[in-house]
Formats: sequence, structure tokens, C-alpha cells
Amino acid sequence: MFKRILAVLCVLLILPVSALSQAYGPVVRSAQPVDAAAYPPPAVPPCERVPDAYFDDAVLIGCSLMTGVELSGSIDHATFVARIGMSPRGAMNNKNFPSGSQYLTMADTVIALAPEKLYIMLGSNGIDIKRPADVLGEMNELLNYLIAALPDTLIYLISIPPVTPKVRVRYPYLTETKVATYNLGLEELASLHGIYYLNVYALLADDNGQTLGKYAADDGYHLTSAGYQLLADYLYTHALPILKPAQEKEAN
Amino acid sequence: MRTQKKTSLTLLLTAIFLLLSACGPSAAQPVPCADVLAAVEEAQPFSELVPLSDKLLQKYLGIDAALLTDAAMSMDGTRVTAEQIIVLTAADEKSLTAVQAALSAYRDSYIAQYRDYQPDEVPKLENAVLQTRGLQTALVVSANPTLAKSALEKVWK
Repeated sequence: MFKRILAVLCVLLILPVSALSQAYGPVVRSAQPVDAAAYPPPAVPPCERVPDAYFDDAVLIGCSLMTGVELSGSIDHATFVARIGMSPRGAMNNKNFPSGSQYLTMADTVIALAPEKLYIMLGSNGIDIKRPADVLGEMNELLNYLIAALPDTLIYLISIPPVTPKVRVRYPYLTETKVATYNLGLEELASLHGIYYLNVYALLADDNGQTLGKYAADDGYHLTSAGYQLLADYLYTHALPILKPAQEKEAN
Repeated sequence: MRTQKKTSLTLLLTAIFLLLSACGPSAAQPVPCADVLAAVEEAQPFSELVPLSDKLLQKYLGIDAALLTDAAMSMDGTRVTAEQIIVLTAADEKSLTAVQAALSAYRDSYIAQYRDYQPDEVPKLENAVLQTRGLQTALVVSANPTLAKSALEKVWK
């Protein structure tokens, strides 16, 4: 009897995870250089503000929202690979970034940089015209590609910011619900891939899932300088310690 | 008598020369880029412009720092618009040609990006003011290029 109950429990535990995997297709898990027992993904607990040097070997990728973070100058030590209009699909397919005499995709540019830490904030361009599930599928492909090429890189997925109703003047199909749904999916993806999720959305959104007034730019889509500063500060106070190789061996 | 006339003429010519050289911008002493930028920014409402560090300026413009003796750049920090002000002083005439070409290429690349991303902003880029005085070049992407032009002419007087 006990064995039967145990078997049923095991099936109930495995089923949701396998269902999620099927929803996204194949999933490559990351071997993060972090003590996973002390910091089980995807959650990142708050910490003392890390020094600027934490970002010396960090690459931050994204769309115009990430260029806003770059322009704020708040994470000056990091390397930014960001471009207006970028989406998860674009990061895989569009050769926009010069490298010598050729142009590379955002994904290949990051791989060439081989960062110790990688922050990804993508999806706002994508869910403006597609379903969150479709864009999450594209994000899954991007993550599979990056994780396979950068097995020792600590990867953080950053939630996309909320929007306000004004956003529908320019993006008629972009809703607060789509943003919230997409971010829930991002957190699921982080869990599946064994990477980490930074929920800046929770900091920027009010109870209706809309951007708080002081952080919302006029178009309802972008953020004010104060909003980008808040986002940057969050990265400084939600940072995981990297295990050195000897420590990694011990932890495993 | 003849010597007196010669001396008077020399003095007169010297005075005229000094008077003329005092007018208009001196290629050796252009207005500081930050002052030109401030004057242009004051002349009309802009989106929330934020100043760029030297490191970002070089990254965005792809201009070798050795070509410049002074630089100032501000962009819309919210990223809602393409608005920006760039003022650069080249080291010499040869550098100026490279700087002008780089600014022109930078503006063209932005037009290409914004055509797909935010077509409403393309007219601002296409009508951007790109002007040079002496060794100093300015690119102003704004809602009112006429005001931008007159602000430049005033500060460069």
C-alpha cells in the first residue's frame, strides 16, 4: 500500500515538470558555477550591495530597455550587448553586431565574449505582437543555445518591466496581462534550465500590474531614468557568489 | 613725411587685422563642447537627456578618441525617442573629415534601425542638424531643427 502511494506521489511530482518541458520542447540544463544547495535556482535572495568589480566579467543583453540601463551609467563595469527592437528570436537570428569584418548575432557575440556572468532581459519585443507562449518558446531556444556554448557561465533571466495603458497607443496588442504571463513563464524557464530569475517586475509594478508612475516613461513601455536606476540597483543587491573551481568540486 | 604715412598705414592695417581676428570663432579656441550642448538643449524642450561617459560616446560613435580634443553627448535616457545632441571638436582638419564621416554614418545607421522600430522618429533623424564650424561638428536630433540650428549659430557667433 505504502509503495503504491509512493509511486503515485512520484508520478505527481514528475508530471508537472515533464509537462512544462513538453510545452517548451527540449531543455538544456545549466551547470551553474554557484552552490546550488545554498542557492537553489531560480530564486536569488537579496544580499549586501556587491562592489562594481562584480560586473567586470558580466555581459548584459537586451533591447532598448537594456540600452536604457546602459545609458544610466549605473553598471559601468559591465559589457552591454543591447539593441533597440531586439527580441529572443532576433538574438538568435539577426546579424547586427560587428566583429572584425563580419556581423554576428547577439547570441554569437555573447558566446565570443565568454562572460562569467550573463544577464538576459528580452521579450518585450515579441509579446507586443505574439502570444507569451510563443515568445517563451523562442527564449527557450536561445537559452538552449547559450547554455550549451557557455556551460560555466552564471545566467540570470531578468523579468521584463510592466507597462501602462498608454503603451497601446503604439503597441495595441501589448497588455499588462501578457507581461505578467510572460514573466511567470520566464521564471518557469529559469527553473527548468537550472538558472536564476531576477524579478524586477515586482519592484516596478503597482497592484494592477502597471508601471508605478515615477518609473513610467511617457510611452507606457519604457522607463524613466529613475526606473532604470532602480533596475540596476536591484542587480547590485541580488547577486550570487561564484564558486571557484576547487569550491565547485567540493560542492558537487 | 613718407615714413609717417608708412607708419600710419601699418598701424591702420594692424588695427584692422586685430579687429577682424577678434570676430568669429577661432579654430584654435572653439567653444567648449559642453557649453554648445547646453545652449542647444536650452533652446527647445527635449526628452529626458542624459550625458554619456567618454567610454559610451566612443562605443556608440565608433570614433577613435585620438581624433578628438573635446566631446559632449547626451541622449534620451528613457529610450522613448531618438533625440540626442552630439558636439565634437576634432584634433585637426584631417581628423575632422573622419569625425564628420563617422557622425554621418552613425545618423544613417539610426535611421535604418528606427525605420523598423519606431517609424515616427525617423523624420527627426532625417531632418537632424549636422553642422560644422571650424574644427567643431554638431549633430542634433530634435523635434525642431530650426531652433537647433539657430541655437548653434548663436553659440558659435
